[in-house]
Amino acid sequence: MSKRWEVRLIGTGGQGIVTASIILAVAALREGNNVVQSQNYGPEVRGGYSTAYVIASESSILYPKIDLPNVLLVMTSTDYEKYLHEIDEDGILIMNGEQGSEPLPDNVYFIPITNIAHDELERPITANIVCVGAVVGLTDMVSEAAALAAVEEHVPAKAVKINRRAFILGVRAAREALAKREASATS
Amino acid sequence: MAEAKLLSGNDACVQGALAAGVRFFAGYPITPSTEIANAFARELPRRGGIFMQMEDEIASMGAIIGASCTGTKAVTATSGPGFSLMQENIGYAAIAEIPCVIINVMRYGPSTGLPTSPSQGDFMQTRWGSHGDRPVIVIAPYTAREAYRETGRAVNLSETYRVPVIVLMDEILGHLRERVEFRDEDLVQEISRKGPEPGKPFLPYENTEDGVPPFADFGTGYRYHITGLIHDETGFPTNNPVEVDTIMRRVNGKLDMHIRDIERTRFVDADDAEILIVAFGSVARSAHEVVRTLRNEGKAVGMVRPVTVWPFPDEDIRTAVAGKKAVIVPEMNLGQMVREVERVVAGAVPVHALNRIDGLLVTPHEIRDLVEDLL
Repeated sequence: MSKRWEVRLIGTGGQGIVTASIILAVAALREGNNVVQSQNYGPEVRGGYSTAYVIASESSILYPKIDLPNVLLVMTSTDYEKYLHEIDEDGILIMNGEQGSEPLPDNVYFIPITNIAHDELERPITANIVCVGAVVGLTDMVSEAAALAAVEEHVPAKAVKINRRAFILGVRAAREALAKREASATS
Repeated sequence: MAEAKLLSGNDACVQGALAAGVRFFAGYPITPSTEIANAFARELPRRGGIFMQMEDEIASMGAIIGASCTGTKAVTATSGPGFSLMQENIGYAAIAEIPCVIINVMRYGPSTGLPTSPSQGDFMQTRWGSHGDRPVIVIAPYTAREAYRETGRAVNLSETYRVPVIVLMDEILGHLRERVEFRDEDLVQEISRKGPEPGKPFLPYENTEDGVPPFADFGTGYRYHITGLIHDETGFPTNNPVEVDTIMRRVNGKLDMHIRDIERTRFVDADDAEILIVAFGSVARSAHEVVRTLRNEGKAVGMVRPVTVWPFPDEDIRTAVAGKKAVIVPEMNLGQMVREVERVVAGAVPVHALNRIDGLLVTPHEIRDLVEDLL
């Protein structure tokens, strides 16, 4: 890891994005990086606006906030244009949903996170772990092994298996999106 | 000392307090300090300690004062509105000289304010929030690692000097989790208050040479009186002007006698700096970032960071600012610590306040802009 990774996750309270951000932070920490993780939320317990973020860097992290992240994952909207100005110029945007027919900017990816959790895993609660997989699959922020170990550490013992699958499906969907992008770039 | 782990500022406070021997917590949950109560509720029973959820913050202070009278190291934690309610009993603990630690995780005020947003609006309240002149030590960490060590130190200073100690956190530091790798210097000692000397007559508020009378824990065989009324050396009320003057000067002066032990100020590239930033808490992280960035560009910027913010480190600031071109004091309030800096600097160097009150942290960017204007 040579750069300062700044990852922001946007969702609603109760979706588990704080846990997802903690998992990414622990994985980065285990790989020897400095990390800061935090979250912003309103007074509501569930249903309110919620964002979580992770900063990971080889050098010490003093300023503990993110201005423009280099990875932004949005769980709650498919309107990617609204978020394009909320990322760094070399940043990527990950939207939760199926990609439409219109061409996308190079730095925007659609991953059907909710659908994977709902239809393939039949456990909507695992969507946050699919998120972790998506971020890991689309970036080289942390290794898959470190992320998977962190996932296993942060889910209940009886749910390790399903969350392991959720992570793997998230990574796979991300890799497919990347491959599709490369194929269309070369065609 | 130990492997790296992810630790939040709030959890770090709890671990530091436990390492210093805290075995009692009473409190009333309030954002953004609630995780402190949660962690004490989990950890204290495992260690034979007691966690009590109280009906409000007035009672919480009363409970930790009572617990401390038995010799048990006691802590409470709160934020804005709760901290205001605690002021009466903080004054009581100060004049009755009962050790206790209050962790105040600052949120945006006044009143209910912005419950989930950070602030440094309680800087002056920590010092002057109770009626009457009262001593207090206030310590403001800026990382989770420091929150651990400094909360431990807060407990020890409270025991050593029989004074309430406030750990001044803010929402940002309380709620962030970060990599913490404890080293040997983070080891928290366990220091307990000094007790009466066996065989010697016991005066609970004795005018001792070091300014700190011995404390007889309740239940150890000593009978004496504790009161919020101004008292003489026996602990009973007095309105004799000579006795009143004596105890008030001792209680309010005892910290000055030990100031080198209490003060802790950190300097970052301050010696040869032309522009000096004075900052505490989370804002000091932004300031430190600016120093790191601008030093890489060869610009002479430095930072002074009071860790013990009260008593204010007059000497450290006076020495550090001598000969500088300008001093910048960034704060998440309308200008509180800047008044102390101005008092100490006394016109010798221009002092610039940089204030943010929109519920967000002062950014390195805006500090940098001001530094570059002044260079």
